[in-house]
Amino acid sequence: MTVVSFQNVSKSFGERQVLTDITFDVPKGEVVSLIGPSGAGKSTLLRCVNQLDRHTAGSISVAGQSISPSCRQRDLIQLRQHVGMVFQSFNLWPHLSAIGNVMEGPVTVLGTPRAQAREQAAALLEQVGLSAHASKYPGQLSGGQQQRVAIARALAMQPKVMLFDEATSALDPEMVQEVLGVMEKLAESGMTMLVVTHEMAFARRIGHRVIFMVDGQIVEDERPETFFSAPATERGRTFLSRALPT
Amino acid sequence: MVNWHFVAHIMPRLLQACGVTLEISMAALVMATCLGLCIALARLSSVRAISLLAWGYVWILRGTPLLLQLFAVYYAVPQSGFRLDPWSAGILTLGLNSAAYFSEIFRAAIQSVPSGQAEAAAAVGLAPFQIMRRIVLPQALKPALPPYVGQAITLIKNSSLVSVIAVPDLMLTAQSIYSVTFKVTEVMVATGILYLAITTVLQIAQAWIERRLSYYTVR
Repeated sequence: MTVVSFQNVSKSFGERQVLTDITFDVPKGEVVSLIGPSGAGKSTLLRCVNQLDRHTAGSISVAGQSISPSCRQRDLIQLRQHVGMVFQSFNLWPHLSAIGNVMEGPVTVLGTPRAQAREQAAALLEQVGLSAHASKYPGQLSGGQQQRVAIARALAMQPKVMLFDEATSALDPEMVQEVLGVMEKLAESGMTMLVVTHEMAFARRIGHRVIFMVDGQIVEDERPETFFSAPATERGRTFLSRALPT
Repeated sequence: MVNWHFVAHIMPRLLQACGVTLEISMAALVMATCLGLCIALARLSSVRAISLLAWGYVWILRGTPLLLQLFAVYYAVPQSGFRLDPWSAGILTLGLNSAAYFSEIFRAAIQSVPSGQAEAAAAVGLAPFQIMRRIVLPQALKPALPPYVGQAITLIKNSSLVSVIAVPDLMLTAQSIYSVTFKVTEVMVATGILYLAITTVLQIAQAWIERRLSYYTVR
């Protein structure tokens, strides 16, 4: 079953073309690493999946729902309920406690009774190893803890696919591992994931597939072992020689 | 020097008039707060006509004297057949005028909330009005509070202008006392103390609310 499908998708901000003719399918349970130099359009591609950025041409379908460039607000809200997203800068809501952050979606969007939402949220916080911090506010948590709360918040909507937009780039080195660990467990549980990352070792280890982008286009779409050991293109080789420590 | 016996003597009358000032100010404050929020949201609307309308409102109401607006509402509007008593005219004018200032305070506070906050809420599936009510407005409260209280204090002091359309507020009562007794110093000292007392209560309320809103900080 295909969870995310892009057919000839393009995106421009005014005059500037950021995605050109992107086509790929992600089957259920697949973990896709999106890599490439900065400015390649990786984040924009990710943000087109849940339409935080609207594409300008082509068709996108997520969890069976097709999204046109002109679809209405109601369709977007419907779409986003099935797509979890984790941001580079966490974006936790500072006026709500950790558990309040996780409960917000189910209570406000799905109308889940508070008691039930609290129970589910507590279970999710336990899953990311933060049971002891449920009532703390984001300002009282470390970056790694905040990002794990953000993952729990996204999971609370029981998404069909999870998007990670450089989820560890803003973290201190010693906190990267705790977040990658949670992501790895999630991948093993069969979650469909699109991961924009600069962690090449991580992309290689948990990715089922690597999509390498340059200048808004997909240059290589390969299995990680193939891409990392023998990239098919010159651009891929140049990128890897710079990105990987030798 | 100040004759404090006389100050004590006129206090009951002034206190009564203080009630009028409070009543007019509070009514105008409630109106201006609600209207100000609506104008701020209109100003931020992506529909250009709505945003332009809000901009025009602020432009005119903030750009002309309050006294002129008061005369316009009390004297000029009735010529079109819609009569207002002095109280209503006073409340309406103060409310309409302050709403322009409040709207700018609210707009600035709303815009100070990082865009990632609304984005994260949209990603979870919240609708635009839910994002505003549940995520953005609660966070805008804190930056809005100090300038909001400042503007509320200005509103209370500006309410003294309604005395010119014969609302028996604190200022008008004070004027009528000294025009008979000629004890200007005593009357103004007493009146000043009362205005100061009202605005002090607001400042204390501000400090109290600010403490209650200090959830962001690491403890």
